[in-house]
Amino acid sequence: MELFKLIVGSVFIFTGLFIFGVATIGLFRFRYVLNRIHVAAKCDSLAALFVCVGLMFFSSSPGPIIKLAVIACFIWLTNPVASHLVSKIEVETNENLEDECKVEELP
Amino acid sequence: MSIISEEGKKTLTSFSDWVSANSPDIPAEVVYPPKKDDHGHGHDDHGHDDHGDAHCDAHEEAHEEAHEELRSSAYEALHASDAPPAAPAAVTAQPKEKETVTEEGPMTERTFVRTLGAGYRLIAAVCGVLLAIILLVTVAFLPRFGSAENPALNEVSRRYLEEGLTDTGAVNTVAGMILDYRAFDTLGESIVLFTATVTVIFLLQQSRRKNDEARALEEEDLQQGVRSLPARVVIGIAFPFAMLYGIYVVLNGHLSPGGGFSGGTILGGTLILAHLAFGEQYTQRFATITRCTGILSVALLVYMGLKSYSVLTGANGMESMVPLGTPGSIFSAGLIFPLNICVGLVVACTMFTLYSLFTKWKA
Repeated sequence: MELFKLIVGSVFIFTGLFIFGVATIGLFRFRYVLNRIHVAAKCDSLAALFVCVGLMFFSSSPGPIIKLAVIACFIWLTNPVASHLVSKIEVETNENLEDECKVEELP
Repeated sequence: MSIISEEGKKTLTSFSDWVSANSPDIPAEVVYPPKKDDHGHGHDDHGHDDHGDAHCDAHEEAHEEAHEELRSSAYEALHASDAPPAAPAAVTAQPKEKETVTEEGPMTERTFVRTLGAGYRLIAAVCGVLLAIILLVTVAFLPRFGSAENPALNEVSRRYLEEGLTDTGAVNTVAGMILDYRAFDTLGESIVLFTATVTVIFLLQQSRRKNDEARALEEEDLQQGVRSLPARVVIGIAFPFAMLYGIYVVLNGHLSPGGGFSGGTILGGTLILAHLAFGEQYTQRFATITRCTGILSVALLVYMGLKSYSVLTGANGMESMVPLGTPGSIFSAGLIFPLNICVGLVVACTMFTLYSLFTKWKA
């Protein structure tokens, strides 16, 4: 059982770390603000969730598990919204948006 | 006392004239030595007229207008570094204030202000020299800087770490240090925040009346908050929890890392978040600028009252009346618990007041 927990937890944590790495590379490779926000928001949320779930397997008492669950919930609530606000401002204020991506009329 | 001269026009473009034209309460004579009269006629007139006008209520309105005009044009002149815009405004501003001067006895007033300025300079020089002597004498008695045997590097930190728990009763040694041994220092830090708030209120209140069309649109945004639905929903969910967390950090300051400063920052940031999301009409229900400055002052006064024995004895720790309690329980560590609450309130109110002042009254 302990070995099983160790393996599953490690798999989750390493998946999270891999996504974090991809996000970091993408943050430097992409050229436009919206692409970068996409990478930062999606990958960060997913990677943080994986790391939190992985760490849950390493704790035996329920206290840390609840705390990690709360942290994951909080990140999944706030991170997308923050990115949404930043990208909304970018769409509203950037005048050269057509050069960067295909623009459809906002409703 | 005459209409501004040619040299007056010329000197008005300099920064010193802009300052003297913009500060009706400080007579120009105090700021500038009267000896520099050769290019100083311009300011003499200014300082005097402003001074005389303070007694005249009938011309308050005209004076306000003229001053506004003078101020804005002088400002432009300063930025364009060009004389022309400033001069006409100064000339038009002058005649409206001329008759108020004649009945006040201008010469005596001017000499009075001059002697006052000279006295100020004398006292300032004496105080400065005295302070320098005191500091130099003190430095002569200090141990060599940076030496490894200095008591500040050994005895003080060892005493804090070894005796801290029995002296202060705080499990968190940092809280014991900043709110017991060095409570005087923390009081100074809180007063810095208070002074910042007061200064911002003074500076921004002058430009409060300027409200144009562009401001009206922004005003609506400030009133209603951000228009994005997800942001409103999520901030509405997170707001009470963030508030609760801030209160926890403040109250648990003597037991865990955190305390008044960090917890107060969380509380202030949460209030700012609520202001951003739901607008002023929502935060006004519980946190107005007046209420926040009131809480700020009361918290500072309570801090001073609780810690006054420490201030009176030169922050040389004395026994306090409050029992220290069992280390580790929430009601322990004597005065640190209420002091943490005071500091937290000060920080939170300062943050929120500064934010709402800057959004409400644009400079």
